[in-house]
Amino acid sequence: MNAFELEMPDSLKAAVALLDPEDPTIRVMSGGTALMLMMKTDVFHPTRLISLRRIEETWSQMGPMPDGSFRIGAMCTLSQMEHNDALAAFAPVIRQTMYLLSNVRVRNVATVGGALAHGDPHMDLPPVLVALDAEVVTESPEGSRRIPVAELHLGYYETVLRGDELIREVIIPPQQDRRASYLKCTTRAVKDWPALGVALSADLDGDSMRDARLVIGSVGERPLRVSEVEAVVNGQQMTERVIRDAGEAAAASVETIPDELGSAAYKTQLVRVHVERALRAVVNQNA
Amino acid sequence: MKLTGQIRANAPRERVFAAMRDAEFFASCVQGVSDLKEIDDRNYTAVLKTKVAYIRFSFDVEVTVTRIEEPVLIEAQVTGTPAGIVGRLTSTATTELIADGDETIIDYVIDSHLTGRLGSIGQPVLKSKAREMEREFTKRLREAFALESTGGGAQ
Ligand SMILES: Cc1cc2nc3c(=O)[nH]c(=O)nc-3n(C[C@H](O)[C@H](O)[C@H](O)COP(=O)(O)OP(=O)(O)OC[C@H]3O[C@@H](n4cnc5c(N)ncnc54)[C@H](O)[C@@H]3O)c2cc1C
Repeated sequence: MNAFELEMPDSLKAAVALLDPEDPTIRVMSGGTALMLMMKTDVFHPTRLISLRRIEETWSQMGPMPDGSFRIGAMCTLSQMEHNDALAAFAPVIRQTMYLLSNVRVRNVATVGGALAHGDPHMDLPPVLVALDAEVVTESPEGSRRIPVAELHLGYYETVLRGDELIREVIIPPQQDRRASYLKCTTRAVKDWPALGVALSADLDGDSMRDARLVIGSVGERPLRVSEVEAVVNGQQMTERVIRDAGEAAAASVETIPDELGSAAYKTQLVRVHVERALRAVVNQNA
Repeated sequence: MKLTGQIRANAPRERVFAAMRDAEFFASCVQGVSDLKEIDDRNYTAVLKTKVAYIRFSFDVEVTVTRIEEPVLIEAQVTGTPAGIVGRLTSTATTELIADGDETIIDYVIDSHLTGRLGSIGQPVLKSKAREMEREFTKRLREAFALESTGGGAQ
């Protein structure tokens, strides 16, 4: 590893001021779990890392907001999210996702800000947060802006965040009676990186599905919202026939990229099967 | 990983073949290539600089043309050694030129493998990067030759 400077600012604003939009070798570090991996493999050689460990405590806190939404500070660790009962009541799918996300050592230090900003499409949380219609709030010298998580990722490690823009919090809108589920498929150990992740959130009126948001991770360059599946299920009774059609629609419309966890054809089959399973899981969930 | 595609060239096959065999011209169509050196008419070296998001890569590239069937086929072996990373990118590129009246269809198959630490960054990155380079290559070829891609038919 090459030598680099380490800065420890004590506020988010000070951290933002240390960034240089023209210099990609300056990065912030939250939990450091993803960055360290890139540095150890010599892929990334920073000149300066800006640790967010000492910034204001509010950015590592979470809780419900007066308007019914749920706010999660960007420095909240994945473990904090897993163990927060208010969050588990608000969106149970998050706790369910955390059980199978890596291991407790990683979850204890990895943060939600890092999980979203890293931009590796093989991650579990981004599709879940897209399905929940979450937004990030960012901080930069120009002020703050809200970006739907659905629009955050552009491609491999690439986000719409500018070089001097940080995620400061995540806002999940009220979920009312919506149900959600995340299915992770791994090809080695159960807690491995996903070979496929399917997140689904929907309203159910009896057996009839409404306003479904179906998002697939780990098969393309970014989490993919699959409107072709949503068109098949919206307004329909969830019969076996509709569920099968939805799986077919997913397999036909999602372009899969091969990786070390499977070929494109294999991933297409995973898509077909897991979209069907995600639909069944949501239908069978107790409202 | 296999990358296949077709580019329709608005020029006769002989002219396109000559252009594909002109290393300097060919290299000028590939984004990020510099320091091209012609060792002989079948062996070349160059430097390829590319980036994925905020991560930059620099490869020392060696190209060996392994098969030539004028004016229909060129096959080349390409090896890229990244600076500072243990690993290697090896590709076999086969280009077939199909005459179609006054035009030529460039039909290519590029089969690539990543080894060492590069392998852990993964095929998907390679694929998305290759697609981007392919688009740029087609654009530059078109600009140089007034070429038209088969995919971009009238709508
Ligand atoms: C052994 C191992 C196994 C793993 N398995 C899984 C798995 O099964 N599923 C899964 O989803 N993930 C998995 N991961 C990835 C893990 O989820 C990420 O490494 C983690 O979420 C990144 O968070 P971090 O806080 O450590 O980010 P860091 O490493 O600190 O940062 C990651 C990137 O985000 C940027 N960044 C960090 N915080 C911010 C911010 N607030 N604003 C803007 N940019 C920011 C950094 O500059 C960097 O580019 C695994 C990781 C490891 C090491």
